[in-house]
Amino acid sequence: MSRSSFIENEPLRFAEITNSDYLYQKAPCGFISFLPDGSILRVNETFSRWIGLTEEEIYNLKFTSLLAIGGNLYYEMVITPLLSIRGFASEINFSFIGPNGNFDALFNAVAYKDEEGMVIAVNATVQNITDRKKYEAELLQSKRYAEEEKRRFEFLSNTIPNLIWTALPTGELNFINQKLKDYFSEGTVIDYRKFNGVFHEDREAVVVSWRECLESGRKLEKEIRLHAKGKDPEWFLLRAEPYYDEDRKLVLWFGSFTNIHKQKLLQLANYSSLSSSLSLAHKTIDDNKEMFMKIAMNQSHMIRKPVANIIGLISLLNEVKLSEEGKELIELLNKSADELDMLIKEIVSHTRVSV
Amino acid sequence: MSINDTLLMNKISTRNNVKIIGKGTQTLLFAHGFGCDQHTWRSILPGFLDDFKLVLFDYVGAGCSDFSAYDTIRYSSLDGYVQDVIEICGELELEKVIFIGHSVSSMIGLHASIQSPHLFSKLIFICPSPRYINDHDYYGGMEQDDLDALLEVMDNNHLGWSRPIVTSDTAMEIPVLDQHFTENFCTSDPEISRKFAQVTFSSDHRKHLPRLSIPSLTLQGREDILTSEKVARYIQQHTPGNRLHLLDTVGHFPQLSDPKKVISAIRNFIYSS
Repeated sequence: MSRSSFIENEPLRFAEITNSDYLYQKAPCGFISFLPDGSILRVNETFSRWIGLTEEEIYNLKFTSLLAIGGNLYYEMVITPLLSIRGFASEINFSFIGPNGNFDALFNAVAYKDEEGMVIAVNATVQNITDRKKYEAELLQSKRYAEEEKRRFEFLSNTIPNLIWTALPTGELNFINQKLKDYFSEGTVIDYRKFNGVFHEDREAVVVSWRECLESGRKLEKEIRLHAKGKDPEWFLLRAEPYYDEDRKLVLWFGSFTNIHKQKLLQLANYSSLSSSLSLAHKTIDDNKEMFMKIAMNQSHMIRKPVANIIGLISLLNEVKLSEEGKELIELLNKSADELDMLIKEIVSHTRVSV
Repeated sequence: MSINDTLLMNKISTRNNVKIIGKGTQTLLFAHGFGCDQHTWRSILPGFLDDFKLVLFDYVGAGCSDFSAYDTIRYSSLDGYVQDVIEICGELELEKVIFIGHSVSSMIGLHASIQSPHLFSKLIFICPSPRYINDHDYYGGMEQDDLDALLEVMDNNHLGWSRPIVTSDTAMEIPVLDQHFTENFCTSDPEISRKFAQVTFSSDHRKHLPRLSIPSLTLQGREDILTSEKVARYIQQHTPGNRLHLLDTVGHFPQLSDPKKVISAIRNFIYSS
């Protein structure tokens, strides 16, 4: 049914529904008007029903006496001057005293002022929010519980000798423990957003690995140096583990720095002693090899000399008249001498290349 | 003098949003109470503008003061606020000032006067209390439970406090004062307000009352949920040179609800001796 047909067919009902006094009395919110001293001028039916008193009973009371004590004090100290100075107050949460205990309400008020700006009266609406308030109380309770959990975690993390931190899935730090703060206490301001405590030589490598972890969701383990102002860089084992919630969603990174400076220095010292003994061994091998080559060369020269002699003598023998048998023997002798000479030459040339 | 020196000189005045108005030579220093700022004085200022120099300010953490200057340790007792007053007087080189404090500022003025006796010539307490919470042989008017309930209401109204408050232009239209009060209201920090409430209502200044060495006046209304005639009489009995003036007013802010009565009571006291 449209508006116009409703007005046409039900003129009396329309008049009743939109009558301003009907609206005032039956509105789904409480109306109350009172003087600056709290004397109540008028309330509507809804409000007197919520308060559980008749209008006449209410008119003998002061506005603030309808409020629970905390709200009463708050009204006198904060809302009164606000209405006087600013002229209105919005969404104030008060507890009103009702027939079945207190009920929570939102209070909105405007001051009615005279020409000199003095408050003559206050008009206010009251909206019962009992159910919403219960829900709010639950929210508040779970918020407090979460805060309590957070405090516990922080307390625990402060008792651990490691440097502990947590980071959001984006990589942004959102908590560092006291030990970590203390480590960088002198000079370095720890900015959660850009933690710059990593030694500059290691920084790039850390950034790369950390980025890879953030993308892959895999844990990080890396030996790095931290550098606090006024201290020498120290070795730490950086660990970061992703924390997944019930929905298998990565919600937080738990990270730690464990000081491994001593072990690392020891390890580095071991490395260097090992490498020096290795290079000594290398040198010995090289020396030995050179000596061997020298010997080989010397020896090959010494052997070549008689071979050259033999070859020379054979060529002399070729000038002498010999029997056919003698010639064949000389030929064989010459061939063997040549083979021996070749062998020696090969050795010599090989040692030359190697040395 | 360089700009830096000038800035440095006005450091406290900026921090505490100090405003100086009026035409006289005698200075009146107005100190607001809890839950308010210097706007609390707007209705009575016209009564003093022509013949006094009026100094107004906001405590650190209130009104348009510099919130970044709020130091949890300094303001964890009323003494931090006492130091605000002493530092303002120091920077403005004020002496023999008439101090007018509302509510908790009455005791702040008392301490400032005891610590630096040269600062003030007279103190005026509006709705004062040396201790709000009842003690076994003392009536303060409040129980610890009441204070807890107040703090709970404050917690429930964080939203209202932290929302930026912008006044309509008409709200501040007071002829002479226009130019001093044209700026918007400032936001309050709910955490600071809560701590101020705790400091205010859990403090006990009874033992300091006898140490006051200058004349003082107590203005107390008839119906006031926070302070009472009984408390005002206690102050009168324990403070040398204290005069009590009961006002026929309702509420904790007579300077706003009945400015004329407050103006005449203060003027009478100033000119009476």
